[in-house]
Amino acid sequence: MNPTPLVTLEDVRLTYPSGQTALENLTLTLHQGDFIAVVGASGSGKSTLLRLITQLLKPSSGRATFAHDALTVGMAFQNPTLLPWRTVLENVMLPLEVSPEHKFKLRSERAKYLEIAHDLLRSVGLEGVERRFPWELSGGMQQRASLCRALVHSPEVLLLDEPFGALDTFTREEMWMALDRLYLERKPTVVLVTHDLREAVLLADTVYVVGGKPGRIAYRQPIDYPRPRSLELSFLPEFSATVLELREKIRPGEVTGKREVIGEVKA
Amino acid sequence: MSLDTQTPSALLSSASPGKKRSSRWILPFLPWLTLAALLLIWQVSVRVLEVPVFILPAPSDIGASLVKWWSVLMDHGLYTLVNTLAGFGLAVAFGIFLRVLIGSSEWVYRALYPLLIGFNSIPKAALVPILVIWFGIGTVPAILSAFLISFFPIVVNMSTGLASVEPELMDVLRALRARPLEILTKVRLPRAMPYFFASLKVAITLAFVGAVVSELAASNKGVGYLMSSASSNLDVPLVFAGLTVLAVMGVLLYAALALLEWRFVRWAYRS
Repeated sequence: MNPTPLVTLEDVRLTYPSGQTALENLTLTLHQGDFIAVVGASGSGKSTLLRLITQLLKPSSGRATFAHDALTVGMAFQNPTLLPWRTVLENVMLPLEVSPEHKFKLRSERAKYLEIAHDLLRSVGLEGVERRFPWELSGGMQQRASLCRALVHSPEVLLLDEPFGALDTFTREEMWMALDRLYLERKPTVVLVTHDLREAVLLADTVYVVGGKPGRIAYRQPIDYPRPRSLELSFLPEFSATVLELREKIRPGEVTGKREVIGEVKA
Repeated sequence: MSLDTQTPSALLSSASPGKKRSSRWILPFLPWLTLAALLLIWQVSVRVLEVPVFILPAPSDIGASLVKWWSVLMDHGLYTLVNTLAGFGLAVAFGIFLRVLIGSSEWVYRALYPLLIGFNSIPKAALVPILVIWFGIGTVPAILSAFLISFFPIVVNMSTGLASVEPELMDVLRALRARPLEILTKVRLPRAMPYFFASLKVAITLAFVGAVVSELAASNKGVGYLMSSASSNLDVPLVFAGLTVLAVMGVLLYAALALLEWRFVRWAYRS
């Protein structure tokens, strides 16, 4: 949509003070409304990539350009990190209390902000538990609240670092659908870091495979299924073929023998 | 207080769901029944064994002495209470100040913390004679010994509390461009509150010990003074009456803090 990209990383290298290089030759462009997934083995530098986008880290060499200096971000992690002394609603309101874009308006426009928070909670199925405390909620519900906290200040980029990693299979699948709906409704720009290749292919428009040591982008796979996407999609043979192909890029040679069984490989 | 019985009764009820529900109502009264039984055994054995009252008075003798000296006991009790609370208040203020100072830099931490631990291993009751030399007999040494004995647990517990914030949450807050002061007031301080309240419960009990020890050694007022002078007059029931007043006051102070804790940091005791 927007011709100027939100984030551009050009030939970025990141070396930690310990001397260890986490990422190298990294080039990536993020446009308004993109939904990208970043997959790769543990320790391949996926989380480092997120910290570059949030500007918590500066590249050691190469260029990182942002649409403007104060790019707003929302973050959610595998651990919901909700504050136990705050109710669900108060937790979701936290970013509005501390981010410079909103904290000065919070008092005068409280009603408007409360409505935003309530709308978000409703859209992930959390209506009725706004006054509950996090420990009274199941893991999946806590993760939904954490998603709402990441979105409440309408950030320009939503960063998700293995957000569903700690959930059971059924809850995780529910969360996929909830995220797909949220994306359709609000069109945020999403960067999803995950181990789960099915999750990446089901949700993202582009999947980046990060691999090697130090990590670099080994492969880029566009995904063009229409939205809203459904769980049934993930049981189609061509979906499995895409997943398998990505898997090959991460751990080559492990499942080559089974290729014929699955069927034709998507180009 | 039903505060302390809350957790064990919750444990019990989850262990045997639905069973013996009819007799559960008795649980909050159980400590009182135990106390009554102990007093009864005490009363009966003193009477049966004909123990002289100047060695061990029966609960009824202590009760009579409580009634007889009620206004005197209240007078001295109030004095002890005021000294305890003054010392405790000083300890809380100084404890927080010292904690912030220690937290302000690695250098201050390295310079002060080992000394504090060394200081804490001095038996504080041994400082009372020195305090008396400096400040004379009376209120000041009582308050100071209450203060000295009780500030240390506050400093140490606050240290534990302020340290623990998840790194991911720090990333969230920094990415939102939250200011350090906001992170302190919205996350670090609330997170340290359970530790703080736990330390207050320890500190109030210690402050009470400090005030009474000082009164026993060098004072002309307070329950400690009353007990030592009753003891030299061989009025043993009055000694025990003083002890009873101290026990009740100690329990009430602890309960008041437990109530505050329940009110403010209930989230830390979730089931």
